[in-house]
Amino acid sequence: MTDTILSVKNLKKYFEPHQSFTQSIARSGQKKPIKAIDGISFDIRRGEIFGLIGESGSGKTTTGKLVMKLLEPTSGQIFFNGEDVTHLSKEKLKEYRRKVQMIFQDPYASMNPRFKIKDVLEEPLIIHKVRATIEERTKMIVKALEEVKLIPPDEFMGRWPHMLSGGQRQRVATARTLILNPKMLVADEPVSMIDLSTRAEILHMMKDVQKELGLSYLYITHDLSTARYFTDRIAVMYLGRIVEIGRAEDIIDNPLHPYTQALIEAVPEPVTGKVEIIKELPIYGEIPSPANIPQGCRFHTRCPYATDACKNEPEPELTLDGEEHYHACRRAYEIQAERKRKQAG
Amino acid sequence: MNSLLKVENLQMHYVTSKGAVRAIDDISFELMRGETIGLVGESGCGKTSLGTSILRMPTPPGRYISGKILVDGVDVIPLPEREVRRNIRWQKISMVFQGAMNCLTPVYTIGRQMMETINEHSDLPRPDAENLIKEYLGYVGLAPEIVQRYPHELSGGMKQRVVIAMALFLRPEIVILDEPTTALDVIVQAQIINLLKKLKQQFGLSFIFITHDLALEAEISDRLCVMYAGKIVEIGSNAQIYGAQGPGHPYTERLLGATPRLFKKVEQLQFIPGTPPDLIAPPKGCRFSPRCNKAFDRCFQEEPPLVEIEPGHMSACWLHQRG
Repeated sequence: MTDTILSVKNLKKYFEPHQSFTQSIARSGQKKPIKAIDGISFDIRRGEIFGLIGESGSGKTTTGKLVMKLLEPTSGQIFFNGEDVTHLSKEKLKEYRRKVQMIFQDPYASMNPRFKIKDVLEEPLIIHKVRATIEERTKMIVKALEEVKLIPPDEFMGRWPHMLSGGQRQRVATARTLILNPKMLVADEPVSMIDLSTRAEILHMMKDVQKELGLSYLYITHDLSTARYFTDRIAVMYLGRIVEIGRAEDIIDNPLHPYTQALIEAVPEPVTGKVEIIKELPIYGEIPSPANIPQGCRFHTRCPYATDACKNEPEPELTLDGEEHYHACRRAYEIQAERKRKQAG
Repeated sequence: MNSLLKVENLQMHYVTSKGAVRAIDDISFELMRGETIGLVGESGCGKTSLGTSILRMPTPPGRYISGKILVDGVDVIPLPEREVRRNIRWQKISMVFQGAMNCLTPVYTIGRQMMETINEHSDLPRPDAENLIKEYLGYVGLAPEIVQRYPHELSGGMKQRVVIAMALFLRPEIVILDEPTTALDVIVQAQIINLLKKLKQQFGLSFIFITHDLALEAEISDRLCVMYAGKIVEIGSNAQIYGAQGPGHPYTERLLGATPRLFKKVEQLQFIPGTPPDLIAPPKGCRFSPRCNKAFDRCFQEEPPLVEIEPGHMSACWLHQRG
């Protein structure tokens, strides 16, 4: 397929827990591997914003790191522009990172406080040995700053990071990725540390840039409510697996997996009349440890709809339902009917 | 309902070498018994400063400039620290600090840290204190075995439950909750909100709930105080702010517009351009005027007073008097 920019195939990442010497001798003390990513596959299309959603511990950040090649996968493959990039030499890796750039979560920690904004933006050019005269470099920096609407650019170039607000810093972080003309950006919770009042402003800016430059985004977040506006498609992760994947509006208006349903139910809405009500959540407890993934469907321990089959039979695979909407729940239809009955009654 | 806490014309400034930062600038409100008041606003508007001021422990270099904080009719500001420790802090008013769950000591067990809190504020003998800890762990939905665990062995939600239990030990009447769910996932957040509602009923508590998230306030607060740049710009009931009529002050309106809605289809998310003002030298007139799209001449000249626009609904905006 030509319209796919990034393709992830059956990717796994297991972390070996630390073991002391005596533990490794005594077999009984053998610790289990932490299955952070347990076989996920997805495609990101050219010019698409792809959202990866889940609770902490679901493996969404690890997925981002694997895509950025900051971690080596245990097994599986990653294709970028049809090319296998799962294992790359040092030189190839540098080339890959020029095309795939990352925006980090914390705009206060991702910039050297002793660098002026100009230096922050020049650093990638130095690291990637971009041959250019000083004037050409300045031009590139000005262009990047204009793209993220930090105007006038000359004024911002001379500022220090501490003189900028969180939103402005996240703009600089975006400009820093754009300066190398990337094809894809990985954004790990880029607005979670920014005030609600300006969050939308940053998302608008990122979307404008994406449209203008025809970029693709992997947008990692736990916030479903911004994902609806910002993303084209969403994959919902639970304990290292994708449990549902589809177009953003389908996922939110017609969730098929009970985990997605619980995530949606839990989002607070600014409407009156809810103070007296204790909201009944269609989910039990908290996410289990990825070192101890439940047998059968990994969600059955928290699922209010689980049956013996969910517990004992092998884990359901993603199945297609409707257009581009996949879910991994064997009882999806029964649950759907039950929910509709409840809503009607 | 009778008044439990009354804040009158409170001013609290941070005295710095550059000048006084007017973090709380003439704030008055009342908390009734059994009520939850929400304090909302952007970061830097003075929500947390107000919380710590009520607890009589403003963060240095904070100073009370004027005003009163009346707890059961007694002003706590002039009281000696000993007196506050023995009778007010944690006995009458306690607080769940922002990020408190990450401030548990990593080298002590949960039980030992909880014991420390009890010993600091009461003379309970050890066996009784141990029972008290187990009792309160039960109230927040945790198993008693947790006392032997270390913080790193617990999830974020469990740590937040421990911190809430620690705020309730000495049977306070008022609990100030400062962003108690900010670092948590949506599902855990909803679970904590449910827990707080349950505890409020069980112990007859009154809450001051601080957050920047208006959607979250809708779930828990009976009344809302909207703060901007050290001042209260609007006070209204849950129904008045979120109901059909909507908020009175343009700032609340914009803040509500910027709150993402999951089910409401909107083409463009709204936002408030610009940043809150410098509190050393706040702008002349209405402090929100430089960012307000409804501002007119008068807004840049004179500061609007907080006036009642309907029973129990106050707003500080010149638009209300324009007719």
